[in-house]
Amino acid sequence: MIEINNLTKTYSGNVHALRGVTMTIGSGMFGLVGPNGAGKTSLMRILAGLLRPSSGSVNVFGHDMTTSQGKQATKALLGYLPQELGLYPNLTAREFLDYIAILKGVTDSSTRKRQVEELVEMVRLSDAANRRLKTYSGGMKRRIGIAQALLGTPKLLIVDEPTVGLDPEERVRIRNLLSDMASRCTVILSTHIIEDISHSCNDLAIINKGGVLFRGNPSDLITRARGKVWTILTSGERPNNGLAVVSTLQLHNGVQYRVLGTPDAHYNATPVEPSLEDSYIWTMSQSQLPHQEMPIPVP
Amino acid sequence: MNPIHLTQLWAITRYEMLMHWRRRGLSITMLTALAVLVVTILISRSQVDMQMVENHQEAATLFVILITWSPCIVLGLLLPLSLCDAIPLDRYYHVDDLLGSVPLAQSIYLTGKLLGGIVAGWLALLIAMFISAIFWRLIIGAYDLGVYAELWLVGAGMLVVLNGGLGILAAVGQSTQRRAIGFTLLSGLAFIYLLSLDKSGTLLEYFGLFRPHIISFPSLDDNTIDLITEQTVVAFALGLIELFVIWLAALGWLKWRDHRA
Ligand SMILES: Nc1ncnc2c1ncn2[C@@H]1O[C@H](COP(=O)(O)OP(=O)(O)O)[C@@H](O)[C@H]1O
Ligand SMILES: [Mg+2]
Repeated sequence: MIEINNLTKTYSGNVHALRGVTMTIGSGMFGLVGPNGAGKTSLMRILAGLLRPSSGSVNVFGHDMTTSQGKQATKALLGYLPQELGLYPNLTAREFLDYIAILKGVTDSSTRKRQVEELVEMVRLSDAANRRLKTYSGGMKRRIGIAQALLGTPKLLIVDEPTVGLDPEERVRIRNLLSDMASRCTVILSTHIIEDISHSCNDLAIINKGGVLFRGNPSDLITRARGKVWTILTSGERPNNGLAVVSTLQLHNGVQYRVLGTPDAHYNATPVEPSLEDSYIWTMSQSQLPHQEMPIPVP
Repeated sequence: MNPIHLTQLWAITRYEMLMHWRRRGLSITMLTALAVLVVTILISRSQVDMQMVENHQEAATLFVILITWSPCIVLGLLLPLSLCDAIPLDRYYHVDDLLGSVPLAQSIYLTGKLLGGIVAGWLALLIAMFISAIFWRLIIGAYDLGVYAELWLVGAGMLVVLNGGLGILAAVGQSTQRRAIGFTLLSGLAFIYLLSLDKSGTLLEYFGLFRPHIISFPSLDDNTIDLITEQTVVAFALGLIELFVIWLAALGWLKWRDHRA
């Protein structure tokens, strides 16, 4: 169990990356969702013991992350995929994984060899594993990043935006792989793509500007937006009056808009069941000041 | 020390050495040392009675030692420049985040980087020694291999440990390869300048990066070549203390950076 209490992080220049985050994360797969700059990476780096919080407390499996003993103890249980993943360009994938495995404490060489082979197989890089990492594509590097995070059978897996830059097939594979892992250990996954968590996370938090906007399971999130999602058919003019358009579909008899909010009666709107994405956008929009522009992700 | 720490230390040393060899710096340094050897031979050939050198083993040995001294010095002075990017590159490649997420103590990390660089430097030394030994054999025939090996393994060997080590440790705070090399070059020159402010010259003799007491230009006084003297031992011991002080400072810097993160 991970307990985060009133956690803040302020970078130099008075940048408030986290403003009093409090939450408990249990076992299984936990999704941390939020737009770029929300504070996801800052939170994950604190959980990984790489970043010192400005105030508040973090406790990972009983280890106090504000002490250096607590950090070392946590690192012994940790698998971490940084958002900005770096690899040694002049090592081969096998060498690199072997190296990280030793540093993680997998000192027995036959165990290590077996783990490395299993993992390159798992991320489907067996054929390329003797090539230098500088010859790898972005997607291949990320897969090696996932493989190194799984070395040493961690109890806590922290993966920061693992699907960025992957093609759709690779994304699905990584998602499935992480879901499999979640039966054995706690997985914390951050993403700004709601689709990444909609299929796999039973527990999630939405954060924005360093604060938690929502904490619960996906169906709770959907419940929040129920009654707020509509479709409107017009001859072409875009609905406004504080409505957020989440999608536009050209039909033979006009244009169908999917909107969030409370449409005027003259629109003749039809209520629809919210998707997770609708609910996410709704939650985000509710947290904004009225005159601010709503963050609608570009598809 | 925990056995895991030893295994980690060994792994960092081993992979660090491998990575040094897969970059260009070390090979360039080694080839430069060998090129200096060739050039020095070509220059001195005309000034020496080659007939006499080829016919008398003692003269041959003296000739070999006098000339081999230059590539040894070149190796010792260039090595810090080719090793100093060891720690900066971890930040440049962004591997420092991964290294920070594993249970690895900074002292082990720093020592592993140091040992890996020194072992890599020693390997360059051994290869250069071997190639130039064959070279000498071909051009002048028999000479005293014992004295020759002593010059490389003791003289140049100590220079590699001290100068190479200093190069790795001193550049700990730099963030790119280019900065590391620039910093090492400038701080090396500044260091020599500061030492030269001591008019007696003692500081320069013991701590100057040419390390004259460790790898002195062979004196020909009484026809015996004494490469290792009492002063050599003292100078090396002082150099090791110097290295240890810089190691502590570098470790302090790494910990301070962790603390600030
Ligand atoms: N090292 C840093 N120094 C200063 N500001 C930072 C630093 N890292 C992140 N920030 C700022 O903190 C905020 C949160 O960033 P981050 O945690 O990376 O968010 P996310 O991962 O959700 O995109 C952003 O405004 C970002 O610009
Ligand atoms: Mg991020």
